[in-house]
Amino acid sequence: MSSDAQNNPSPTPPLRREGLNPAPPPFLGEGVGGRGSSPLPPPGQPVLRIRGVNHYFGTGDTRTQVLFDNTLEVMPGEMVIMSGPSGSGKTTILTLIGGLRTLQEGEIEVWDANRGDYRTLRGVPEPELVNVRRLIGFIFQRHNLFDSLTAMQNIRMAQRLKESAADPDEAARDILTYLLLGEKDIQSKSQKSRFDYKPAKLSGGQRQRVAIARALINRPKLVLADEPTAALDANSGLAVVTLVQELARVRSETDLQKLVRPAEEAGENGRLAEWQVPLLRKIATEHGTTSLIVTHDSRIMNLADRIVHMERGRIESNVVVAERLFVREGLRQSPAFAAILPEEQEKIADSVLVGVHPNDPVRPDHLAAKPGCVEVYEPGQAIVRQGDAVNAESKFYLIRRGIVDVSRVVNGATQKLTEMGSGRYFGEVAFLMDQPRNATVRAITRVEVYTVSRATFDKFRSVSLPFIERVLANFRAGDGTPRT
Amino acid sequence: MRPPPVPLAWKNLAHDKVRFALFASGIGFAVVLMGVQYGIMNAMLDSNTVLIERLKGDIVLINPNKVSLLFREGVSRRRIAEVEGVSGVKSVTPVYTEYSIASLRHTANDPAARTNTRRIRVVAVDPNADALDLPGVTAKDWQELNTPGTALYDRKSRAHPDQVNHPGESVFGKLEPGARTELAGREIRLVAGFEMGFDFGTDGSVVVSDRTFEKWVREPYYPAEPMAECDIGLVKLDPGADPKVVKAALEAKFAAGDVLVLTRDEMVSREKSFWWTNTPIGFAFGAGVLLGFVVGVVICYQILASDVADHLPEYATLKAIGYTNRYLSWIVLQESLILAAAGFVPGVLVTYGAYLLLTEITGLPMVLTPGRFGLILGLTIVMCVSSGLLAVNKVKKVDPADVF
Repeated sequence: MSSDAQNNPSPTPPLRREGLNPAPPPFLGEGVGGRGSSPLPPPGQPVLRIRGVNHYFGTGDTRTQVLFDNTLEVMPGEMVIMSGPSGSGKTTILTLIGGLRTLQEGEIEVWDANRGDYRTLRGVPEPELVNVRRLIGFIFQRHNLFDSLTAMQNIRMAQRLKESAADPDEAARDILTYLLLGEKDIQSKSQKSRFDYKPAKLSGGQRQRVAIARALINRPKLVLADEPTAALDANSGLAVVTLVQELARVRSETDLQKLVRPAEEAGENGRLAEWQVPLLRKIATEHGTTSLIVTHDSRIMNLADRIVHMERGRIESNVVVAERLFVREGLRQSPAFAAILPEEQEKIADSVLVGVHPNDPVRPDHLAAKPGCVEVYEPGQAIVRQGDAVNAESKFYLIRRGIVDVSRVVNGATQKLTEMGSGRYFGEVAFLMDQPRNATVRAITRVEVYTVSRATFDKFRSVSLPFIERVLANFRAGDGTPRT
Repeated sequence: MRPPPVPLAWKNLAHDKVRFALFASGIGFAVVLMGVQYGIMNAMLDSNTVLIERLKGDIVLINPNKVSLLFREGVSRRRIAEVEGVSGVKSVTPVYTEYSIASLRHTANDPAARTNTRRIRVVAVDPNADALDLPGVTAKDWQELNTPGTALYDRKSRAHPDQVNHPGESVFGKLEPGARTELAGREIRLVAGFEMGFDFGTDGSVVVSDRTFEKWVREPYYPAEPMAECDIGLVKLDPGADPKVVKAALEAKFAAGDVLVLTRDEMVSREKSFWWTNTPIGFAFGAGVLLGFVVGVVICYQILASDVADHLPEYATLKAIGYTNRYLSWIVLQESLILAAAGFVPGVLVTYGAYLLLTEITGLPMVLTPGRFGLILGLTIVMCVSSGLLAVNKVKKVDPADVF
């Protein structure tokens, strides 16, 4: 066994963490390839596409650029957290996505489930922007409810904008009840419903929940939210987040039942009442809702599928959490990286991310946007060949998708050593030992691999040199000769 | 399925009832301003046409140069008698009026109750011709009027300015049945009273028979042919006759142009038109109505603009979630219409009360006809909708991006 891969089998199976790297839910990727009414875009296509967006405030001498060449794609069902300091452009970009401002430069496309096509926001007149806004559920930091209207009437204002098969009053009562404004409280005790209360008679949190109900009542496929849980207690906050998640994807009964817990166990994370679970199922009959949330609430941050960080008007990082964990876990499993300082290891991982969930295939434009991070091989193509010299061009490989065959020629005969799939890696021994490749790795299916270049590796190696030495010591046998 | 619409405009306005009452009273104030000014203007004009409206006939024949009752331009009695043979004409009656020569002086037994000579309008008809509609005057009174030297007097003659010392008296003194006084220097006896009122040309009226008129007013001044001309030829039609057809026939008959054929309503309009164009009534009270209108526009705009300002984040939210500028504009216009209705009802009631009060005080015939009611309602709606259209600009400028 002299293959890099064979010698260092990665024991970790492909990452399938709950909420982070779930198996593709049945609804995802079901969009039809052609045009027509479809709740979701074609497989692999985003629900929101932002390209090269610049934005300016003011005119003439006072014209100030606030957004700089921002590009982002958000896939159906993702919960995206927008982070960044105040003034970094988060809100401006949200208002552009929502069609609340006129797009000046760049392109934004939002999937319109009703038309089965994208709606572009560039240069569209106001009436067209109104149609875009109707696709979106807005949750604002301020509730902005009409003081003169009851909770039900405020929600009805949103219901008037969309045809629905359901009884509108029942739908409104259901969502308000789920958000603890109905006749039952979290302890399943009866309480006076707030359906017919005007905002003046509701607390800040209750008003915010009515506003959230208004935003979600039409089951929008895109939700834009600004600190949606800031005014909410733990239980209400959890109810809101769980609803947003359930609108994104179907969750198992077991997952939901974990949230039905005693108060003493819930702590700051909150809990759901037993009766809320069936109501949640009743409300969330459609899935695939994507949400972009500006928040500093750590309870939500931990549930994010994608974290977009902005600084000074630029998207500084766009991380699919599942992808980051996938790559970090892959690197951590490799002895070559295990000894590199954790923060340096994370930097390496982040440097190869392409912003696509590991379950989804990369597209050529992803590869072009982040060249050298992911390589794609068609079936039968060799990724590394036995005997290839290790040089500055050599790479470490982490299998993203697909299956490879590892084989070695011994005495003129080819021996198949193993097959490896997603989450496994190869090529690190040659990196460390400076030896020629000791096996051939060939794609059996279409294979996507993350690659770490020798230059990157050496850069971080120099930082973590003392640790590398310790790794080398691990590789040396007791007599000091290197392992093969 | 969509839920029924939410009456947002009404809810926004009626949410705070005290505030809404203030809004309504503001608009109501403007309605009263307009209504009273308009009422006074109409009363001024109406007072000059009361006599014409009291004529009991469908068509009138006058001298084309007689642009107002005040003008002494008569029409030949011989000419108007020619219409008797026209199909559909039942009768023609001459009506005489005199403004400049006639004067009344109360010759009461008590020297202190006697008055100075004061000009009065004298209207003369054949008492048997049923030419005037004078409520309160009985057939017996009309018969008595056949006696030369008798007259009917106007109970609504201009009131004596000193009502404290002369309660219920007119400027002509105390007028009552049986009173003896002087008309054009000759004694007459008052038979009964009627109500007609004063106008720009006169402080009151007396009605006499054509014979009394001839002897008292005409003969001393026109001894040759005292009754050759009358002021109005009053034409009554046969039952079922079409006034338009008869009028056309009369116009054809008087194609020479020496007699003008008008319906009674046309003569009313002609009279009002004269006063409208030849006096500052139209301008003065029209300006008053306009002032009320402008005040109303300003009040209503302030209400609507402050409502939009108060609900700016909510309107911005509605825009953000997909409501159009058109919808928001409609909400503001609905609010303006609600304000119009809420202000009009109390406003028009107060206006009506003011009419009754002013009529009582001044004697001017302030009448709220359905047409005038409709005009004030129309002005109120236009006033509020104009304000609404101004306020719409504010709501159109609401920036949905402000909600974040």
